[in-house]
Amino acid sequence: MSNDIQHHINVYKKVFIALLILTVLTVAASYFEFIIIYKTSGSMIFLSIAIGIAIATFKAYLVAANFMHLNDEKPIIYQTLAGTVFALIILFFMPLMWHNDGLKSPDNVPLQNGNVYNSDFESHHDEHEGGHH
Amino acid sequence: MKIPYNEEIRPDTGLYNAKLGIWLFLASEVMLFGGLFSAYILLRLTDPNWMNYGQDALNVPLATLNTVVLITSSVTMVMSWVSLKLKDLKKYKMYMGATLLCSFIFLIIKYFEYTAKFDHGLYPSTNNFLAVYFTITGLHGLHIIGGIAVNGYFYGPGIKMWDSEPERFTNRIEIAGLYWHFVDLVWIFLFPALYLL
Repeated sequence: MSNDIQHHINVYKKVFIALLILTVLTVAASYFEFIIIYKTSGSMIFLSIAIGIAIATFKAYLVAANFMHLNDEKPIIYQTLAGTVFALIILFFMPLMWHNDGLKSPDNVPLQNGNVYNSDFESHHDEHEGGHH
Repeated sequence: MKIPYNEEIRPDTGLYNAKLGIWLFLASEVMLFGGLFSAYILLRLTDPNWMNYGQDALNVPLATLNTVVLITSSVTMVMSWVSLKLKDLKKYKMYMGATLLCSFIFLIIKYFEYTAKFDHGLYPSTNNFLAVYFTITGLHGLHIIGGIAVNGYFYGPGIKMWDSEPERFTNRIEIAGLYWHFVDLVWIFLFPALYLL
């Protein structure tokens, strides 16, 4: 039992160091590369977001698997979490569906600059952006 | 009357009851934060003015420091549980104290971030990004305060249980730890989503 715990402590230390390194990596990457990409090319935004989220997901995995002991848990907890992930995916796809007009965007939404958002605004806006639909 | 399955394993789930309880609670928490993240994605994709909201004016160094503080607190939290497993109450107090200290440091840094925004006249009502930023980090901050209340209790008066029911107390710390790691986990996503991307 004591040996087992010592093993755990060693794992916690390694995970701690890995999390710190990944944090530095995320920040450094966003400073040196992604800000430039962000400002120069609209289509590259999604790549930089994907990389940022990928690192965050790996960090979350390290925390969940080791600190929360999900790498060695009972089936009922995995089942509960599988249901949660399923619901979460639906939740995240709702705005994406909306964006691609799978759901209809609402018209006449007031904007911060005093304009009103409607479908006319979008087509007008797209002409300037070169259109990305 | 003794409440069943506080320490002993329930045969059908293979867990003591509180463990399943906290995971069900955390599942609901995933959906709570998930809803707000989903709103963030929607606003960001559909708001044509998003680029003008000054997202890159957020204080990245302070937020990075807060990330390190929270990761550290997660490690000290799990170490406080390990210390109880090793029947070392002194070390438990040390690690739990460190966890509480980190929690307060996180809130103090957050306080400086918020007041700097307010001083520049930036409020949740200013624009969509700030509305998202204050709502999600505010909710996360409330979770930190909730964690301080629970961990503070187990650091202070709640520690008495160690003398009468040490195994049950150890389980309580494991449950409090699961909650605390979740709060850390939410921040791991919040940090790049709000500050960096």
